[in-house]
Amino acid sequence: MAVQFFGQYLLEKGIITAEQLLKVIEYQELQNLRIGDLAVRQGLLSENDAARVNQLQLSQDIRFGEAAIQLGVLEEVEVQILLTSQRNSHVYFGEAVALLRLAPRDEIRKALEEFTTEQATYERAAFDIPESVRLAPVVASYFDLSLKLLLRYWGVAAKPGEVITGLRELCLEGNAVEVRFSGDLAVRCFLAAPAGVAVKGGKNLLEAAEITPEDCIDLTKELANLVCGNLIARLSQEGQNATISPPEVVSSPVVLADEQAVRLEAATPYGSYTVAVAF
Amino acid sequence: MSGTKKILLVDDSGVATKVLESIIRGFEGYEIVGRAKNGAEGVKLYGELHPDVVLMDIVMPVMDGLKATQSILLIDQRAKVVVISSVGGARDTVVAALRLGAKSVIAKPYEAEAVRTVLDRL
Repeated sequence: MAVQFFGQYLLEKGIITAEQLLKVIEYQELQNLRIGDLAVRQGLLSENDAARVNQLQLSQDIRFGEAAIQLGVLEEVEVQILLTSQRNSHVYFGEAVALLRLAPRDEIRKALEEFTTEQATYERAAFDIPESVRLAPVVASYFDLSLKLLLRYWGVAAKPGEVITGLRELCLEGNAVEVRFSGDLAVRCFLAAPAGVAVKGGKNLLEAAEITPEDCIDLTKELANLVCGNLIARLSQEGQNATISPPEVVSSPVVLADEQAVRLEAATPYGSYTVAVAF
Repeated sequence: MSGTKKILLVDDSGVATKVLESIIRGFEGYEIVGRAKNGAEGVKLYGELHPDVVLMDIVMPVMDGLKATQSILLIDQRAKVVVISSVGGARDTVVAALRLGAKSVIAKPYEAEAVRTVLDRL
């Protein structure tokens, strides 16, 4: 299950209903103040200054605290106090479910333990991506998820090779698809699986003896969708919002105009599996 | 056939549809009556087939699942739409779908038990 949000986990397990999930979200929105609102409530910022900070934050894509310090309306120590206060008063989803008496505490605790165990399989692997590559953490995350989900859902283990940076042209073998990101992050993510890898994945997933070439393309699109969807979830946990386009088949080589790409090739028993990000 | 619930599947991925079909075929009391490849087709088929449940993918070409959910609920506010979240359960997408009126959410890749729980609770 690719659930990365505890509320959805509880919903899928039938522990809460959709209406109850929305009720919890509303409760959290009331309780969990954003740092700017907290600063205003604690009298550290005027509403006017908070609005100026918000504006700077949006225009420069920086954190609220950094923007406030830059404008000279908050000291660094005040930002630290606010962040601690925000962390300490945060009501987590499971806690809110219990506070609203929507499910017994024991049941929530047990579900949280199961959810956390499942999530552990999504912990990040470290990739040696040079800091000179803009968006290196996002690239590392994408590569990591691509390999993990390939193993988890297609049953194909891939051994990562070298990370190649600064590419102006991408050579992709087999069924190659592209997913475009928009929003806070405008990148193009590529994923290419040779026919043998997709056939193995198809057999694993569909439990079918025969996998057609159309199925192989469809499977590759679906895997790309899944990887990028999980990447979005990770980004959203870090406060970055992005949306993705449906995966599209691309033909190799992909010539990049004003962008450059980072590519990782991974060896599998069925041929080389390639993932890349252009930015 | 009384009591059998009619299901409409809306997903651009043929493979994902096949997987979901094979899961639902294992359940008693449910019948798949239609398949659509995008949200617009899903809205059209909803009007023709009047299914009891719509299982709707989110990221699709032509019309995405959130817009299609909204359109179906405009036609029939009692429609039971369950969105399929392939976006890793991203909190905002799940909440947006439920706020639009979706009854529940199922995560991709599918787990038979989760699909069953969600369908049975509708």
